[in-house]
Amino acid sequence: MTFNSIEFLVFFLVTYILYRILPFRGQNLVLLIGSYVFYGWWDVNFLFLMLLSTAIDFYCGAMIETGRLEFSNRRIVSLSVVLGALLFDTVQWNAIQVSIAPIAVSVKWTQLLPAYFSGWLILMVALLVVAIANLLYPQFTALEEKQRRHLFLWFSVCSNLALLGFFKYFNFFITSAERVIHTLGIHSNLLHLNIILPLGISFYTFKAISYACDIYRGKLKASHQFLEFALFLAYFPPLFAGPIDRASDLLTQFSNPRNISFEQSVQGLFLILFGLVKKVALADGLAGSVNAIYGTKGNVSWIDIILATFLYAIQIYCDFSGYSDIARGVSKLLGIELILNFNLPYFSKDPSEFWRRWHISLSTWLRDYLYIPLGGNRQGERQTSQNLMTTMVLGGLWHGAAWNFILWGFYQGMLLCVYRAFTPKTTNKQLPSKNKFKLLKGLVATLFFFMLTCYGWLLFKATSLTQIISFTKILFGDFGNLALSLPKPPLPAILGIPLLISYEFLAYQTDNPDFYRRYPTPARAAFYTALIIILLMGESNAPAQFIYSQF
Amino acid sequence: MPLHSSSILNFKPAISNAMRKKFVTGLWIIFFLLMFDFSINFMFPYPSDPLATSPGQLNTYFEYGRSIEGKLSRIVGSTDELSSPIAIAGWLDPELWKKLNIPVSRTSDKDLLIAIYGMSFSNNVGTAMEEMDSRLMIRAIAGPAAPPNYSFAAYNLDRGKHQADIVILGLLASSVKGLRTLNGMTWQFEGPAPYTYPRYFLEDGKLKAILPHVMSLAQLRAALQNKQQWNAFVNQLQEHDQFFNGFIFQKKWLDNSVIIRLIRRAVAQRHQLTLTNQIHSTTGFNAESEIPVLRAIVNDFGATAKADGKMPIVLILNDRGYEDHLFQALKPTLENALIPYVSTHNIAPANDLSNFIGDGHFTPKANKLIAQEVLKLVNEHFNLVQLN
Repeated sequence: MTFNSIEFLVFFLVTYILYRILPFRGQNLVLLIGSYVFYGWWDVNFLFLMLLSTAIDFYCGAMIETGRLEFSNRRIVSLSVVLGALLFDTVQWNAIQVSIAPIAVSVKWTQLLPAYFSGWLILMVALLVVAIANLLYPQFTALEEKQRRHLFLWFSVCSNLALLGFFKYFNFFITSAERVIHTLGIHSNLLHLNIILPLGISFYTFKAISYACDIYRGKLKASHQFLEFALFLAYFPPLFAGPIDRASDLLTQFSNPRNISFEQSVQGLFLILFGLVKKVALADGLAGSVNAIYGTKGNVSWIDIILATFLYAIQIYCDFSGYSDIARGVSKLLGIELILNFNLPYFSKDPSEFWRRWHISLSTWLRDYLYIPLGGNRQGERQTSQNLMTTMVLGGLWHGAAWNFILWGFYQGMLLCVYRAFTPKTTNKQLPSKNKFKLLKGLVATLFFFMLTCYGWLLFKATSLTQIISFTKILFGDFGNLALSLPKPPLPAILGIPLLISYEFLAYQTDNPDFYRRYPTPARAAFYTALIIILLMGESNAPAQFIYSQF
Repeated sequence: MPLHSSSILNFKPAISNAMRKKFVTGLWIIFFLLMFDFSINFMFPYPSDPLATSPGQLNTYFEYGRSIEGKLSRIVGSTDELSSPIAIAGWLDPELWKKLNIPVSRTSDKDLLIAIYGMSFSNNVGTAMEEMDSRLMIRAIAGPAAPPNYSFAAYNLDRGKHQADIVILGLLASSVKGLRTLNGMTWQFEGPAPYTYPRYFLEDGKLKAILPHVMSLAQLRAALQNKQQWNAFVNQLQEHDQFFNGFIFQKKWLDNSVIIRLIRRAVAQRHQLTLTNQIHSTTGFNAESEIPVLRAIVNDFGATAKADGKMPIVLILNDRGYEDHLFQALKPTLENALIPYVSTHNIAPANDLSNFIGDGHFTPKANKLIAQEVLKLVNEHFNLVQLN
């Protein structure tokens, strides 16, 4: 169920109506059930994984803070893990057949529960985990504070990273290890598992890690409401592709009654419209042209690579920021504010500014939970560069288990290090320069850095290392070859690109993304109409999955 | 008056004022949408003359979403001469083939007559073969983007009506989805071609056909004039054509609105994509969907052509987005039944952009390479016959 589907529209309408008619506690329950339905629509089996992560981090959070978890909460956590394992991974729901016309339900009772031992394994493991956690609870509470806080912080971080590592990176590391062994001339046949990557796992595990770390650092109070905490991790709008909101922002909103203002709803509707235009008309529209060049096994020219990479820069931005816009818009309709994830990133003049504007929730996460704990910039230039490289390479790896993402992270880290090396350390008072010259310098810096960003996207999009090498050779060795084979993008994308650039330019110039709201009513209405028309035109593009939901 | 009371007093007018402003903005949006609708219809009208086939890119763009019936009424004229070329193309009508002077037997200066059944892709290969070898004559029967059931029906209908030495069945990967249809309209919404063909299915392992009520342009024209006949045809499509969708097919007065046409186009795209995804995914064709029917078609084609003393060749055309999927789906059948075949996947790979022109057809160079492979097969076969 993606944002641009009819299923989501129906799902959201039902959730929204229930949300608006229920009181505060009921609203949270509706949102939690809705979020589980939203996730389970993709694959119900993986809901247990999310529930397990929720239970572990709720338990750890309380243990880090006070070393106590009320009996009622322990009971809820235990029950939810056991029931989750039973309902989502043990019961075979396909044994129940429902038909609409005529309305009938038939149950194959013999197939409702697994006949084999392996089918009960997850439930047994869940029972074992619950039993251990409850049996050891008195010992945990008796631990020395420092020891206990350390233990539960590491347990939370390691369990989340273990989930992420297993589901996302297991086969990648096995394949890479196998390649290394092969190059040494040794034949090996290591274990390969048919692992499905659970959608959104990169996002909710990072949210969970930040929760435990913030409690450990004393920046956040542990949640004592399991429902609210479960909602914080599972909250559906940002579930598949962020933003990665912190508990200090999101959890506090779930703890207090929401007041949905008319203005907030209007802003939400605009964000949904704008996000849909970005995703449906632009990102999906450009996908065909970009994939034709990056998917070809034949020869491509210099101009093909230039244009395809430029279009990919727009595609990935529209796809990802489109998701964030819709997530923020949907949340606004529910009276919940999510953080801004993109702030006109292609107007950046340097890599440092770029990472303050692009995927802000991830870059600040990496800064707070990886770069600064590594030492940040406090241990000299060499160590700072090392920390930057480590952060960016791991940030690249976060995007996916493939070498091109690592290479992309390495490239971004290198840009940051080079930029640091050539930036004056002391901030001298800038000499007054002529406005025109400053503007030109800014424009040149923006364009130059955009080109560097685009080369990064080439690394990101490439399907193999061979393609990276061949495309790079063409870029520098076949300079000026204008034999174009790139398929023309569809009309809505062609119309949407200048509209997007104009919007972003004016937002950048005025330093206000809502600049259009100061325009007279007819001008504003004309802008909304243009968006609606482009969206209607773009609806005929072949729908594609959100790129970042695959990470 | 206490401060909080005053703020409560001011709150409601503030909301209603904001709501009023939004309401006015909403009215403006409706006004602009209507303006857009009228002005596009005014500036980019689609010509009513069926013979005007290139009315301009934007005129065509905003016409894509017109209902199929709406498009039909524009392309089918009162006579063949007054009808659009797309309306005339592809009918499985032997009388039409006679009129088109398609060669029936080879002339004295030619060594071989080759009959090709398929679509523009197979026609292009045939033309390239003719250009490369002057000893050949081609008898080509094709429908716009025709599916395998069309090629097979054309072959069956043509049996005994020609003296070709070789029969080629052209199968286009992107048209395999048409196996679920009875005509070239329901699954090619944006540029429907009204020609019809049977839909095949398997019953006790044997191929059975559902014949469309309308089999020629003349019959279509008559049906369009007769509501009862037309309804019978539409009902048949509704029952047996899996791509049929009432909202997409049936003409309504809303066809006049550009916005409705944009919405209908989006609905059609999603409808067609949903059905296509049931047959084909990025990993290949769904072996359980229409592939058993296609395999039976290929088997039947090979067996009957051999029984008729003709050399059968299956030409597998893997176009963009389909890699070697059709070849993979048919390879076991072709090898088991010993049917000669040429697959384009290793001659002009579908994932090499340079093999295709803008409209998705193979480049002339690729057509020549494919033709070369077919000729190689033909020469090998006939040398073998001579040796025996």
